[in-house]
Amino acid sequence: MILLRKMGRDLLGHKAQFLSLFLISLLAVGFYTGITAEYRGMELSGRDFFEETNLATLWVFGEDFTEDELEAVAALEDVEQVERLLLYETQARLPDAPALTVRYREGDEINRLLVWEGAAFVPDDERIWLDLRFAEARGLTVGDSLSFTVAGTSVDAQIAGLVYSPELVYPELGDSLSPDYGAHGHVFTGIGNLPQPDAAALAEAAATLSATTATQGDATQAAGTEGAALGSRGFQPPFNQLVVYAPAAIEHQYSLEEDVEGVLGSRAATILVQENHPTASTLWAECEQHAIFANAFPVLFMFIAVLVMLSTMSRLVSKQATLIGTMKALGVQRGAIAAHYVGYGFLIMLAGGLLGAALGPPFVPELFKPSITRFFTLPYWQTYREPFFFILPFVIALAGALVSWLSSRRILAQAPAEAMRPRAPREARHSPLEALPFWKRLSPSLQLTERDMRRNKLRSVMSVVSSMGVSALLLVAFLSWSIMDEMVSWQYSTINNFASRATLAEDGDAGELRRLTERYEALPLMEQAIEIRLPASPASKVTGTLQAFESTGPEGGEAAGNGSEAGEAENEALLRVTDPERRIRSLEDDQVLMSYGVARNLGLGVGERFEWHRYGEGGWHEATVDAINRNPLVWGLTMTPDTLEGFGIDFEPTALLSARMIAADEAGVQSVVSAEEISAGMDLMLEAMVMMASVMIAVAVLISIFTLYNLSTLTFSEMERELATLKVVGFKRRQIVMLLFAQNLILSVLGFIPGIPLGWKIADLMFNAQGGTLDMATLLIPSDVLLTLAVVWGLCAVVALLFIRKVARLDMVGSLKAPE
Amino acid sequence: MIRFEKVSKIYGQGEARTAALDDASFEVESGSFVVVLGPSGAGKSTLLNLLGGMDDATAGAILVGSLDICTLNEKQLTRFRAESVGFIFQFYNLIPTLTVLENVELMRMVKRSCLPAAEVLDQVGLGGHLGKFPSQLSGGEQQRVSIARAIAKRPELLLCDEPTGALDSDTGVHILKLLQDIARTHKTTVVIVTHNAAIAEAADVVIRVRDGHIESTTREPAPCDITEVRW
Ligand SMILES: Nc1ncnc2c1ncn2[C@@H]1O[C@H](COP(=O)(O)OP(=O)(O)OP(=O)(O)O)[C@@H](O)[C@H]1O
Ligand SMILES: [Mg+2]
Repeated sequence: MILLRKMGRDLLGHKAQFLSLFLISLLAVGFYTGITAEYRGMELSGRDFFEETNLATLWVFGEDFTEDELEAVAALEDVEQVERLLLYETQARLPDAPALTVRYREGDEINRLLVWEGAAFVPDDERIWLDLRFAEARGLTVGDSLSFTVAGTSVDAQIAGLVYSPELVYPELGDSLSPDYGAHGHVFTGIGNLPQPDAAALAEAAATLSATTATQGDATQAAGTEGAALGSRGFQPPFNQLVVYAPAAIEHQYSLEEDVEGVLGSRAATILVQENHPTASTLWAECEQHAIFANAFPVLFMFIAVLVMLSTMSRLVSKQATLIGTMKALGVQRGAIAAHYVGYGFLIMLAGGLLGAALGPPFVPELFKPSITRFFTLPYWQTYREPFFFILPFVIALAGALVSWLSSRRILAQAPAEAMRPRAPREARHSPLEALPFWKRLSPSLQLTERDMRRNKLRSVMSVVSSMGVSALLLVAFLSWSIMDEMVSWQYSTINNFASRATLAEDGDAGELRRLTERYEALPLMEQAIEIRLPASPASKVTGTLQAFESTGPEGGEAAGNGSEAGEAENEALLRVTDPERRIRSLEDDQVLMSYGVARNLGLGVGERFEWHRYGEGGWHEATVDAINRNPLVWGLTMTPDTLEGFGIDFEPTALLSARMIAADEAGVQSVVSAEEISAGMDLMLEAMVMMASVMIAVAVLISIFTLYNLSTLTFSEMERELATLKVVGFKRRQIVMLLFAQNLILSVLGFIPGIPLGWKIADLMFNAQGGTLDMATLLIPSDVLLTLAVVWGLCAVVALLFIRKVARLDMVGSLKAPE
Repeated sequence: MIRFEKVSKIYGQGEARTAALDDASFEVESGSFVVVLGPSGAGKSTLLNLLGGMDDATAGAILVGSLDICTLNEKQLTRFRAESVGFIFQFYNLIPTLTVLENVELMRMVKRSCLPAAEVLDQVGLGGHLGKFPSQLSGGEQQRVSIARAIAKRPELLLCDEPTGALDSDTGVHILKLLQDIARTHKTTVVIVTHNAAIAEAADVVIRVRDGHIESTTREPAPCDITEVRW
């Protein structure tokens, strides 16, 4: 009882230290549990949704899939179910003619639809189901009708339900890079509703559909049906997709892919495995990125918390050595005294940790919700909790208690008489540093600082570790900001140099193209989804984009990118190519440029051979890497139209770039976006990361202030007598504060040094966790390193300011009395 | 010249009110070797602390030369302590992490015109211990370091609160001798607070304090040398 009361008084006496210990514990646990709850919740939501709706294991693109083929695939080992469907791309008859992907389905066993409103999906209903986000964006609801044209036949269908589809968790970002849910709708309906009268026209229309890139979003793909074989028994829908559900094969998707290839041969133009489908891969990549945050930093914080505990406790115990000795002399059991001290550490850290575990999971995820839900569409957002969240505070508190016990053990082990004797001042020792020629010329205050740091190794180590963590955290945050900025300026002022980009209509003709090109002095650009692999090595396959365009007009070829001679022509180029160092380089005929990310992924260098083909193309083209280029958004190959034609592929532009604003209502133009819209979209895309960076900075600053304050308080109370003496002999307040400050500055720098590579490593992990959608060059930007140092020092200064008052209140008269 | 004019120092309020010094007045000449005597709790330390600018008087004026230190603000007081006062403490108050030499050199940070540290340490007989840390010295040696630290500043005023309190009598005599020499050779006013009435024989001026009052101020025209004092 008495001990308990004493404990209470001790807590009050050291309230600043205990408060900061409490807060560090709270922050560490809150940050960890909050972000873990956030990403695990997202992971769980995705997993549940995919499971509930039987997300396909494989998507096979091709043409005219037959019943026999379906059965052959269904007979493969592990395959539970196969469905055929026909994807048809058209436009809705709505303002701005939004794109519409119609999925004519045979059933609803794979990629099932989750109905949000309306009736459940039935394949032989003549109505349609519409994806919820398009419906919301367009103000459509159940019972409304939607009109579009399929193969020349006008369809006017009633909406039976609004749905979530597991294939649409991540949207197709389109040209502006930001999700525009109103610009692309998805219709689901039974295959029986496919207009039949003019099958030939349908076949032709399907053949002109371009492949939507798998890497940029929706993996929808419509393949042609040249000379669709119409059976004598009547109309055979030209199915162009097979979805395969084989949950048992989820761990070996690629071997299943090979099996399917074995059955279908060249009939399978392209196979997409689940882990490469953006609906899954983007979600998992986002989770992975958050996981890196959740795991890297809190571990560090908890370590810091335990260290803070250790130094606070050992200070407290040694300060009370006399009292402890007295208690022992009075016959208090050693166990009781030990329990008393261990109790401090345990209770404080436990309280902070439990509060963190209680507050983190409900609040932290809310910070991320707005930006996450803008990009990811899930029918539900699970909250994630695990018992470990509440076990963790106990673990930390036990660690804190353990170190408190270790630190008090030595003193408790002493004989009562010994413990009661006044503590001899700790011995100072000469350091090897003193052998240095300039040591004698150092100011005595530096010498004092150096010795004090060595005398209190524990405290110094702790400051260094905490500064390391804080520096790493700040660096990651600053790097995220500036790398994002850099990326935006790299993409939108170095690479892109156009004011608008028009996506060409699928059915545009050559005449229109020529007219538009001249009218707007535009650059025709062809972009197409491709696959790239090492020669004859199916397992190495990566997906990417082919970009083909004429580099800088007639003299562009000579205007090589090394520096200023690149000259006017280069500056006028609407679209430029940059090398891995992000300098502008040339694009010459007969050159195949491979993007940095792909080359790294495949382990390819200049001069090495590889194979590539367009999505849906049967064979492979052989090629050599002539140069490596780098682009934050485009993974794949870049070449001129001539080079492309050298591969036997026609140059068919899909977009036009112009220095002027292309009118959206031009014939042959499907949609137009301005450069501003594109870069604004990019900013949105990076919002989650900005959020993360801000959270990190806030946490780093708080942790840093708490630990520095705590450490300074320790230093201050340990040196109180000496500082008071200095004050008596005439040291100015500023000089005394500087003594404390110098120590923090030096220790901070010692932590800052290893903190930089650590932060850089973490940043690199994080940016690469983007899952291959972005190639973010993780540069160690000197200004960010300096900024980090400035903030670290700035925080030292802030804490120093907090001590000015304490120094002013130093009791000079007291310092003359006997040492405690 | 040092003069206390009706100086009072009151601690606490109401019931807890204590007058540590009450209407204390006295005057001593510059360069005197002054001994302050009195029983425990009489107010000796209070007197010394007020004189050293470490504490504010509740009332009265304290003149050091022509300067009334009661009118100084915090900054000016710091300067006064830095420039004009040397302190010697009962428990030495050395910085344990600095060597003997560094402890003295530290004073350069408060007063530029300090005497060279090694020279002063030589004067107090510690020329051979420059690189040692305080914990490696005896109490008497530590007190010598403290004296060296104080006189390196060449202060007008050297204030010593029971400088020999923690030392045996032989060592104490050596320390006091050193202080008396300093008063004689440097023309520094040395004020020593002590319980030991015997020292009074060696003083130029003896101030007796009791219950916060100045009981008497006696001048000794021919003080004897410390070493001749009968203990
Ligand atoms: N900070 C304080 N608060 C309240 N009273 C105080 C304080 N400091 C001193 N006193 C009181 O003032 C009186 C004089 O104290 P002072 O320290 O000057 O005595 P002293 O003559 O130096 O005694 P000693 O020889 O024991 O050192 C004492 O009665 C003491 O209780
Ligand atoms: Mg006293």
